[in-house]
Amino acid sequence: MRAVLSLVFAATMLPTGPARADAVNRSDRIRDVARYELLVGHADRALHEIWNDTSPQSGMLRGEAYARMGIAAKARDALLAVRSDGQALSDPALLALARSQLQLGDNQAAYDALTVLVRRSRQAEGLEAAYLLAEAAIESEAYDRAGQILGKSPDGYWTAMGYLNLATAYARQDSDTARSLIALRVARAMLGDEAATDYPELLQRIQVTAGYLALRSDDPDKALSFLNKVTLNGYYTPQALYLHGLALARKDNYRSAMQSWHRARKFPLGFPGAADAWLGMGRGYDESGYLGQAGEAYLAAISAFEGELVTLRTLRGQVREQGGYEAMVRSAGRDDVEWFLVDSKTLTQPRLAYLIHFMEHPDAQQAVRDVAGLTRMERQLQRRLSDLDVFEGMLKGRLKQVSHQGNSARIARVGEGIERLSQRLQTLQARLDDAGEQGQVADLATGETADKLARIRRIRSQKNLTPEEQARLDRLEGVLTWKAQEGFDRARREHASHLASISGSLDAAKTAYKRFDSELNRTPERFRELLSRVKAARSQTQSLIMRVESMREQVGDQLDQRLMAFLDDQASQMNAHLDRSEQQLAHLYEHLALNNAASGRTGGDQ
Amino acid sequence: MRLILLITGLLVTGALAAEPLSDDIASLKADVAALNHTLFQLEEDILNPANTQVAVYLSFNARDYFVLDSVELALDGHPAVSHLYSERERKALEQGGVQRLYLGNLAAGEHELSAVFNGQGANDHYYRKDASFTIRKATGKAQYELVIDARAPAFEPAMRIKQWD
Repeated sequence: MRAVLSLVFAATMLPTGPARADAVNRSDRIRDVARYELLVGHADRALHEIWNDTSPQSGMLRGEAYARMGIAAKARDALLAVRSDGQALSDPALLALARSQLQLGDNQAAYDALTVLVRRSRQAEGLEAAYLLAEAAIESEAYDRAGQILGKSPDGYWTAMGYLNLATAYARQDSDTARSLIALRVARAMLGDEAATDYPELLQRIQVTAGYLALRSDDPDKALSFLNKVTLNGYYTPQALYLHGLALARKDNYRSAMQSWHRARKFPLGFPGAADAWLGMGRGYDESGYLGQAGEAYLAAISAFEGELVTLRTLRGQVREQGGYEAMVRSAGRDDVEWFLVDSKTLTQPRLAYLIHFMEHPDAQQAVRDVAGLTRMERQLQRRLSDLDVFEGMLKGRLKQVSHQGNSARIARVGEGIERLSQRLQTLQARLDDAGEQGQVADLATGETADKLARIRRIRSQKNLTPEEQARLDRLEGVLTWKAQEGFDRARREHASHLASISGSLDAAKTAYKRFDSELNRTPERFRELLSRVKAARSQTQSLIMRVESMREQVGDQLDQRLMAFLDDQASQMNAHLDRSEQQLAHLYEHLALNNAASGRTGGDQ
Repeated sequence: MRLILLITGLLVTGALAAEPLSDDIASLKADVAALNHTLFQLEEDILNPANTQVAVYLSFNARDYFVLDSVELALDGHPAVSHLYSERERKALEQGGVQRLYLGNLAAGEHELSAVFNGQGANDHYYRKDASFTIRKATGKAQYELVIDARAPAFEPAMRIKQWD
């Protein structure tokens, strides 16, 4: 009873507004909440925040959120709707529109949007737009146009990436590597002085490509100048070390070349360059005249390649049995593809080496991203389903609780309590009014005076007083009444104020009681409505889980096929390396045998 | 003739049904996004009904003077939430994003909202500052925004509160 009363009274304490807080408009700020969610990668939450907001700003955020989630058609529609309302798109929104249009094959519209963006933005969006336009030009073999676009773009990651791709395109077309090397030098310059810390992967790619092209143009010194700058703990390290050794070998410095190849051999054979380095060691000893050690190096290479073929067979078996995502991605301790660009990955596991090699191709990245995304989606939906189960149980329990008959009786008792307090208040009010009108000073005395007068009344009521005592009490009562008379008006005001305060509280309690009563009457209906929403959501979630599972199976099969083809290709390459090692070894033995025979004949003649 | 039309119709339907897988994935993602909205809304209606709901947001307006490290929030002296900021979250706040720091329930009446924030000032000084506010919960949703800013002349980080209408 006391708890219910306190609840009623708590609800009555409803002040008109908060203290010490400035007021701001909610709908303006909620868009900033959506912006935050979008920027930290929670596109679904961002979308939820602005779901019913029809403002152009929300339209742009909606388009960006859809684009982030990979829902290109919805992103394009949302952003075009904003534009058709006469609103200019922000830079991130325009970039999202262009990317969505590219994804949907609406290339010309995308190029128009990108051109506008390049013209008006010198920020990250403008740089990315220039990169995308240059990429399109490279694809259509309009290299000069790509060069012009990149030439006007400010320094930065995207411009460097564009120049690297342009250099690769030149290298495919030209037999002379001059244009490619110039483009690579520009790419390097675009990354700035902090390239090694800001963009280590891209910097390594540029240096290795430049080293390779310099070697192709038979300029080992220039190749070494690029390759010497490649760090020893990246994905491109074994390839760079192999090329480094090759450049040194071109200068007939086999000893140093073998040092580089020896370092490259420490990496798993799945990395480009590692297998070539094993073969290079044999050749290095051979060229240096250490034929016995060359034979040992070839034997070691054969053993390594045979071991690697077993590893590849095991991996293929695991992909067949567990599926590619489970066998390669999850087993490598990865749940997504974001780690691909992170430079702190472990480079010693063969499985991871093949996975990174496989993921070099954008289509492979997309395939893994699709499976990872759907797996995550399924997990999230399963969690949601379990939450819905909890909600359903809780709502059923509460519904039972509020529908219980006892509650009405408890609430009625609270109402009766309020009524009793109101009656007492009325009585007190009447007494105060009477005392005021009739000048009953003693009745209105307060504090110490009231206490003393009460004690006098008690003593008198004992009726065994002597006349002397009676007279003393009369005198004392006279003095106290005189004192009370002095504070009569003040006491009357104080009492009136107390009663007004109690009356205010009781009025608030009555209002809260009525509201609480009606809330309680509405509660079962509210719980029933929530329960029905939970059931509907549950059924929707279950049906979506089934769709996600089926879709994940399909994309999983595609990933498996792609991975199997990749592993088959790797096995073919490994077999080719094995054949080459065996041939080299056979040649070496043949050479030794011929030498031995020749020296035997020379000895015999002598 | 009717048979031919039927077969042609089936072929067309088959061709339409065989959309690229990427389109199917996008369509599924859109449906999941719509369901997520329904579920977020339902969760809020069940766990944080409007008459008891209180939400505390955080915005940041001291970009050049303060690097926010963490925030701890307490309601009526009880710890409500604490958050350690990543680089990405810091950037989102610096770009004008507003973070929903806390969503919970409070009875109507007066409450004390206190917050402690930590971070690095422009002068390499490490700040740990606290602020306390009296809030009054009425019957509707109560939404407050804590703003961290640094004002002239000292540009020391400070926290103030705003109420959303």
